[in-house]
Amino acid sequence: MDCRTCRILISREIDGEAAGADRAGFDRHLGSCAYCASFRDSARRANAVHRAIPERAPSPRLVASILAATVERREIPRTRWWLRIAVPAAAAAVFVLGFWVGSLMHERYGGESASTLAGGAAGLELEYLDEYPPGSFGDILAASYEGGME
Amino acid sequence: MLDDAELMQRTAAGDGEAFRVLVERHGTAVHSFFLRLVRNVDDAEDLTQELFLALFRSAGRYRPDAPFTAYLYRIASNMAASHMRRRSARRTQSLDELAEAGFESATARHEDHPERTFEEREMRRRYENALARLPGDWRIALELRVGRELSYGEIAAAMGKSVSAVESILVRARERVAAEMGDVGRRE
Repeated sequence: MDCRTCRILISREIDGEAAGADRAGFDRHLGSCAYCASFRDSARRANAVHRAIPERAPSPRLVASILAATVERREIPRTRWWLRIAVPAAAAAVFVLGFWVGSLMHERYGGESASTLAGGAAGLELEYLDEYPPGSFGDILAASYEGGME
Repeated sequence: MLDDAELMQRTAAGDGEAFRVLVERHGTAVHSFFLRLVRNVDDAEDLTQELFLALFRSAGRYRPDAPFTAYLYRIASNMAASHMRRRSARRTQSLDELAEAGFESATARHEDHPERTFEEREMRRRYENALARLPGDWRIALELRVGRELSYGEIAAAMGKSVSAVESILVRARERVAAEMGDVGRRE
Protein backbone atom coordinates (compact mmCIF):
# COMPACT_ATOMS: atom_id res chain seq x y z
CA MET A 1 0.00 0.00 0.00
CA ASP A 2 1.29 3.48 -0.86
CA CYS A 3 1.10 6.57 1.37
CA ARG A 4 -1.67 8.19 -0.67
CA THR A 5 -3.98 5.22 -0.29
CA CYS A 6 -3.07 4.92 3.37
CA ARG A 7 -3.94 8.57 4.06
CA ILE A 8 -7.31 8.14 2.35
CA LEU A 9 -8.00 5.15 4.58
CA ILE A 10 -6.90 7.10 7.68
CA SER A 11 -9.33 9.86 6.80
CA ARG A 12 -12.13 7.33 6.24
CA GLU A 13 -11.31 5.65 9.52
CA ILE A 14 -11.53 8.94 11.43
CA ASP A 15 -14.85 9.71 9.76
CA GLY A 16 -16.29 6.29 10.46
CA GLU A 17 -16.71 5.53 6.77
CA ALA A 18 -16.03 2.09 5.32
CA ALA A 19 -12.24 1.63 5.36
CA GLY A 20 -12.03 -0.88 2.50
CA ALA A 21 -10.99 -4.50 2.34
CA ASP A 22 -7.21 -4.30 2.73
CA ARG A 23 -7.07 -3.85 6.49
CA ALA A 24 -3.94 -5.98 6.84
CA GLY A 25 -2.11 -3.92 4.22
CA PHE A 26 -3.23 -0.72 5.96
CA ASP A 27 -1.90 -1.89 9.32
CA ARG A 28 1.39 -3.05 7.77
CA HIS A 29 1.91 0.30 6.09
CA LEU A 30 1.18 2.22 9.30
CA GLY A 31 3.68 0.02 11.13
CA SER A 32 6.42 0.83 8.67
CA CYS A 33 5.72 4.47 7.67
CA ALA A 34 6.45 7.10 10.32
CA TYR A 35 4.90 9.85 8.20
CA CYS A 36 1.53 8.12 7.86
CA ALA A 37 1.56 7.13 11.55
CA SER A 38 2.16 10.73 12.63
CA PHE A 39 -0.48 11.95 10.17
CA ARG A 40 -2.98 9.58 11.72
CA ASP A 41 -2.21 10.88 15.24
CA SER A 42 -2.38 14.49 14.13
CA ALA A 43 -5.64 14.05 12.22
CA ARG A 44 -7.21 12.34 15.20
CA ARG A 45 -6.15 15.19 17.53
CA ALA A 46 -7.40 17.82 15.11
CA ASN A 47 -10.70 16.00 14.85
CA ALA A 48 -11.03 15.99 18.63
CA VAL A 49 -10.27 19.73 18.84
CA HIS A 50 -12.84 20.47 16.13
CA ARG A 51 -15.50 18.38 17.87
CA ALA A 52 -14.80 20.13 21.19
CA ILE A 53 -15.80 23.52 19.78
CA PRO A 54 -19.20 24.05 21.38
CA GLU A 55 -22.37 24.70 19.49
CA ARG A 56 -23.93 28.09 19.89
CA ALA A 57 -27.68 28.59 19.74
CA PRO A 58 -28.96 31.65 17.88
CA SER A 59 -30.19 34.41 20.16
CA PRO A 60 -33.92 34.50 20.98
CA ARG A 61 -33.99 37.87 19.21
CA LEU A 62 -32.69 36.24 16.03
CA VAL A 63 -35.24 33.42 16.20
CA ALA A 64 -38.03 35.94 16.77
CA SER A 65 -36.78 37.97 13.83
CA ILE A 66 -36.76 34.89 11.56
CA LEU A 67 -40.29 33.94 12.55
CA ALA A 68 -41.52 37.52 12.18
CA ALA A 69 -40.13 37.65 8.64
CA THR A 70 -41.61 34.31 7.62
CA VAL A 71 -44.44 32.62 9.49
CA GLU A 72 -45.93 35.69 11.14
CA ARG A 73 -45.75 37.75 7.96
CA ARG A 74 -47.67 35.05 6.09
CA GLU A 75 -50.33 34.89 8.79
CA ILE A 76 -51.20 38.56 8.21
CA PRO A 77 -51.85 38.23 4.47
CA ARG A 78 -54.01 35.23 5.25
CA THR A 79 -56.26 37.47 7.32
CA ARG A 80 -56.22 40.05 4.55
CA TRP A 81 -57.11 37.39 2.03
CA TRP A 82 -60.31 36.78 3.94
CA LEU A 83 -60.86 40.49 4.27
CA ARG A 84 -60.44 40.89 0.54
CA ILE A 85 -63.39 38.53 0.09
CA ALA A 86 -65.51 39.70 3.01
CA VAL A 87 -65.39 43.46 2.46
CA PRO A 88 -66.55 43.48 -1.19
CA ALA A 89 -69.17 40.85 -0.36
CA ALA A 90 -70.51 43.01 2.48
CA ALA A 91 -70.48 46.08 0.23
CA ALA A 92 -72.39 44.23 -2.49
CA ALA A 93 -74.92 43.00 0.06
CA VAL A 94 -75.49 46.54 1.34
CA PHE A 95 -75.92 47.80 -2.23
CA VAL A 96 -78.44 45.07 -3.14
CA LEU A 97 -80.33 45.61 0.12
CA GLY A 98 -80.40 49.37 -0.45
CA PHE A 99 -81.62 48.91 -4.00
CA TRP A 100 -84.33 46.52 -2.84
CA VAL A 101 -85.50 48.86 -0.05
CA GLY A 102 -85.42 51.77 -2.49
CA SER A 103 -87.56 49.85 -4.95
CA LEU A 104 -90.07 49.02 -2.27
CA MET A 105 -90.25 52.65 -1.13
CA HIS A 106 -90.60 53.82 -4.71
CA GLU A 107 -93.37 51.33 -5.24
CA ARG A 108 -95.19 52.48 -2.14
CA TYR A 109 -94.48 56.20 -2.04
CA GLY A 110 -92.91 57.04 -5.41
CA GLY A 111 -96.04 58.57 -7.14
CA GLU A 112 -96.98 60.70 -4.15
CA SER A 113 -93.48 61.97 -3.72
CA ALA A 114 -93.17 62.88 -7.36
CA SER A 115 -96.46 64.78 -7.45
CA THR A 116 -95.73 66.46 -4.12
CA LEU A 117 -92.35 67.53 -5.33
CA ALA A 118 -93.74 68.61 -8.67
CA GLY A 119 -96.48 70.62 -6.97
CA GLY A 120 -94.08 72.25 -4.64
CA ALA A 121 -91.64 72.99 -7.40
CA ALA A 122 -94.20 74.47 -9.77
CA GLY A 123 -93.81 77.88 -8.24
CA LEU A 124 -90.10 77.62 -8.77
CA GLU A 125 -90.55 76.55 -12.38
CA LEU A 126 -88.79 73.30 -11.83
CA GLU A 127 -91.09 71.22 -13.98
CA TYR A 128 -88.47 68.66 -14.78
CA LEU A 129 -88.82 67.27 -11.27
CA ASP A 130 -92.07 65.51 -12.12
CA GLU A 131 -90.18 63.19 -14.43
CA TYR A 132 -86.65 61.88 -14.92
CA PRO A 133 -84.56 63.37 -17.72
CA PRO A 134 -84.79 61.19 -20.86
CA GLY A 135 -82.06 58.49 -20.96
CA SER A 136 -81.11 58.92 -17.32
CA PHE A 137 -80.70 56.01 -14.96
CA GLY A 138 -83.89 57.07 -13.15
CA ASP A 139 -85.76 57.19 -16.45
CA ILE A 140 -84.66 53.65 -17.32
CA LEU A 141 -85.55 52.43 -13.85
CA ALA A 142 -88.96 54.09 -13.98
CA ALA A 143 -89.63 52.62 -17.45
CA SER A 144 -88.70 49.15 -16.32
CA TYR A 145 -90.76 49.58 -13.16
CA GLU A 146 -93.83 50.67 -15.12
CA GLY A 147 -93.31 47.86 -17.58
CA GLY A 148 -93.16 45.40 -14.71
CA MET A 149 -96.37 46.76 -13.21
CA GLU A 150 -98.21 46.18 -16.47
CA MET B 1 -42.35 13.27 15.80
CA LEU B 2 -42.48 14.57 12.24
CA ASP B 3 -39.33 14.27 10.16
CA ASP B 4 -37.79 17.24 8.39
CA ALA B 5 -39.23 16.38 4.98
CA GLU B 6 -42.75 16.28 6.39
CA LEU B 7 -42.18 19.58 8.15
CA MET B 8 -41.05 21.16 4.87
CA GLN B 9 -44.15 19.87 3.10
CA ARG B 10 -46.35 21.24 5.84
CA THR B 11 -44.54 24.56 5.68
CA ALA B 12 -45.23 24.70 1.94
CA ALA B 13 -48.90 24.04 2.70
CA GLY B 14 -49.01 27.04 5.05
CA ASP B 15 -48.40 25.37 8.41
CA GLY B 16 -46.43 28.00 10.33
CA GLU B 17 -45.96 25.75 13.33
CA ALA B 18 -44.07 23.25 11.16
CA PHE B 19 -41.59 25.93 10.15
CA ARG B 20 -41.15 26.97 13.79
CA VAL B 21 -40.18 23.38 14.59
CA LEU B 22 -37.63 23.39 11.75
CA VAL B 23 -36.09 26.62 13.04
CA GLU B 24 -35.90 25.24 16.57
CA ARG B 25 -34.52 21.89 15.39
CA HIS B 26 -31.79 23.23 13.09
CA GLY B 27 -31.21 26.77 14.35
CA THR B 28 -28.30 25.95 16.63
CA ALA B 29 -26.53 23.70 14.11
CA VAL B 30 -26.89 26.20 11.28
CA HIS B 31 -25.82 29.13 13.41
CA SER B 32 -22.78 27.21 14.68
CA PHE B 33 -21.92 26.16 11.11
CA PHE B 34 -21.84 29.78 9.96
CA LEU B 35 -20.08 31.03 13.08
CA ARG B 36 -17.23 28.55 12.72
CA LEU B 37 -16.76 29.39 9.06
CA VAL B 38 -17.14 33.17 9.02
CA ARG B 39 -15.89 33.77 12.60
CA ASN B 40 -17.95 36.87 13.07
CA VAL B 41 -21.03 36.85 15.30
CA ASP B 42 -22.96 39.51 13.37
CA ASP B 43 -22.26 37.90 10.00
CA ALA B 44 -23.21 34.48 11.34
CA GLU B 45 -26.54 35.85 12.57
CA ASP B 46 -27.23 37.55 9.24
CA LEU B 47 -26.44 34.36 7.34
CA THR B 48 -28.59 32.27 9.68
CA GLN B 49 -31.53 34.58 9.07
CA GLU B 50 -30.94 34.61 5.31
CA LEU B 51 -30.78 30.82 5.26
CA PHE B 52 -34.10 30.34 7.00
CA LEU B 53 -35.76 32.97 4.82
CA ALA B 54 -34.48 31.12 1.75
CA LEU B 55 -35.66 27.82 3.21
CA PHE B 56 -39.12 29.25 3.88
CA ARG B 57 -39.41 30.69 0.39
CA SER B 58 -38.24 27.47 -1.26
CA ALA B 59 -40.43 25.14 0.82
CA GLY B 60 -42.79 24.64 -2.13
CA ARG B 61 -39.92 23.55 -4.36
CA TYR B 62 -38.44 21.07 -1.89
CA ARG B 63 -38.65 17.44 -2.99
CA PRO B 64 -37.95 14.84 -0.30
CA ASP B 65 -35.94 12.60 -2.66
CA ALA B 66 -32.69 13.76 -1.03
CA PRO B 67 -31.91 14.00 2.69
CA PHE B 68 -33.11 17.27 4.19
CA THR B 69 -29.73 17.94 5.78
CA ALA B 70 -28.07 17.80 2.35
CA TYR B 71 -30.67 20.26 1.05
CA LEU B 72 -30.26 22.55 4.06
CA TYR B 73 -26.47 22.54 3.95
CA ARG B 74 -26.38 22.95 0.20
CA ILE B 75 -28.03 26.34 0.68
CA ALA B 76 -25.88 27.05 3.74
CA SER B 77 -22.63 26.05 2.00
CA ASN B 78 -23.38 28.25 -1.00
CA MET B 79 -24.11 31.17 1.32
CA ALA B 80 -20.98 30.58 3.38
CA ALA B 81 -18.76 30.22 0.30
CA SER B 82 -20.20 33.35 -1.25
CA HIS B 83 -19.76 35.25 2.00
CA MET B 84 -16.17 34.11 2.43
CA ARG B 85 -15.34 35.21 -1.11
CA ARG B 86 -16.96 38.61 -0.59
CA ARG B 87 -15.54 39.25 2.83
CA SER B 88 -12.14 37.65 2.51
CA ALA B 89 -10.49 40.91 3.52
CA ARG B 90 -12.77 41.49 6.47
CA ARG B 91 -11.40 40.87 9.91
CA THR B 92 -12.59 37.67 11.54
CA GLN B 93 -12.68 36.86 15.23
CA SER B 94 -10.56 34.27 17.00
CA LEU B 95 -12.28 31.64 19.07
CA ASP B 96 -11.16 33.46 22.21
CA GLU B 97 -12.84 36.64 21.00
CA LEU B 98 -15.90 34.64 20.11
CA ALA B 99 -15.86 33.21 23.62
CA GLU B 100 -16.04 36.74 24.98
CA ALA B 101 -19.03 37.32 22.74
CA GLY B 102 -20.75 34.29 24.23
CA PHE B 103 -19.18 31.53 22.14
CA GLU B 104 -17.77 29.91 25.24
CA SER B 105 -15.58 26.91 24.72
CA ALA B 106 -16.44 23.72 26.55
CA THR B 107 -12.74 22.88 26.62
CA ALA B 108 -12.09 25.96 28.76
CA ARG B 109 -14.23 24.61 31.58
CA HIS B 110 -11.76 22.06 32.89
CA GLU B 111 -11.13 24.01 36.06
CA ASP B 112 -9.67 20.94 37.75
CA HIS B 113 -6.88 20.78 35.18
CA PRO B 114 -5.66 24.28 34.37
CA GLU B 115 -2.54 22.94 32.66
CA ARG B 116 -4.73 20.81 30.42
CA THR B 117 -6.84 23.84 29.66
CA PHE B 118 -3.73 25.74 28.60
CA GLU B 119 -2.64 22.89 26.34
CA GLU B 120 -6.07 22.64 24.84
CA ARG B 121 -6.21 26.36 24.27
CA GLU B 122 -2.87 26.30 22.58
CA MET B 123 -3.90 23.34 20.46
CA ARG B 124 -7.15 25.10 19.56
CA ARG B 125 -5.29 28.27 18.61
CA ARG B 126 -2.97 26.37 16.31
CA TYR B 127 -5.85 24.44 14.83
CA GLU B 128 -7.79 27.65 14.26
CA ASN B 129 -4.84 29.27 12.51
CA ALA B 130 -4.36 26.20 10.34
CA LEU B 131 -8.04 26.15 9.40
CA ALA B 132 -7.99 29.83 8.53
CA ARG B 133 -5.37 29.16 5.84
CA LEU B 134 -7.42 26.50 4.09
CA PRO B 135 -9.38 27.25 0.92
CA GLY B 136 -13.04 28.01 1.66
CA ASP B 137 -14.51 24.81 0.24
CA TRP B 138 -12.01 22.69 2.20
CA ARG B 139 -13.14 24.38 5.42
CA ILE B 140 -16.77 23.85 4.48
CA ALA B 141 -16.13 20.15 3.79
CA LEU B 142 -14.35 19.71 7.14
CA GLU B 143 -17.10 21.51 9.03
CA LEU B 144 -19.81 19.48 7.30
CA ARG B 145 -18.01 16.25 8.17
CA VAL B 146 -16.60 16.91 11.64
CA GLY B 147 -18.92 19.63 12.95
CA ARG B 148 -22.23 18.60 11.33
CA GLU B 149 -21.40 14.88 11.04
CA LEU B 150 -22.77 14.56 7.51
CA SER B 151 -21.84 11.42 5.58
CA TYR B 152 -19.59 11.69 2.53
CA GLY B 153 -22.67 11.22 0.34
CA GLU B 154 -24.54 14.05 2.07
CA ILE B 155 -21.51 16.35 1.82
CA ALA B 156 -21.21 15.52 -1.88
CA ALA B 157 -24.87 16.44 -2.37
CA ALA B 158 -24.51 19.60 -0.29
CA MET B 159 -21.40 20.78 -2.12
CA GLY B 160 -22.39 19.64 -5.58
CA LYS B 161 -19.33 17.39 -5.87
CA SER B 162 -18.71 13.66 -6.26
CA VAL B 163 -18.09 11.49 -3.21
CA SER B 164 -14.51 10.83 -4.36
CA ALA B 165 -13.93 14.58 -4.72
CA VAL B 166 -15.20 15.13 -1.16
CA GLU B 167 -12.96 12.35 0.12
CA SER B 168 -10.00 13.87 -1.65
CA ILE B 169 -10.75 17.33 -0.22
CA LEU B 170 -10.96 15.93 3.32
CA VAL B 171 -7.64 14.13 2.99
CA ARG B 172 -5.89 17.18 1.57
CA ALA B 173 -7.43 19.44 4.21
CA ARG B 174 -6.22 17.14 6.98
CA GLU B 175 -2.76 16.92 5.49
CA ARG B 176 -2.55 20.70 5.25
CA VAL B 177 -3.81 21.18 8.81
CA ALA B 178 -1.31 18.62 10.13
CA ALA B 179 1.52 20.36 8.28
CA GLU B 180 0.40 23.84 9.46
CA MET B 181 0.22 22.63 13.04
CA GLY B 182 3.74 21.27 12.71
CA ASP B 183 2.72 17.72 13.50
CA VAL B 184 3.97 16.28 10.23
CA GLY B 185 6.04 17.67 7.41
CA ARG B 186 4.63 18.49 4.00
CA ARG B 187 4.97 15.51 1.77
CA GLU B 188 3.34 14.22 -1.37
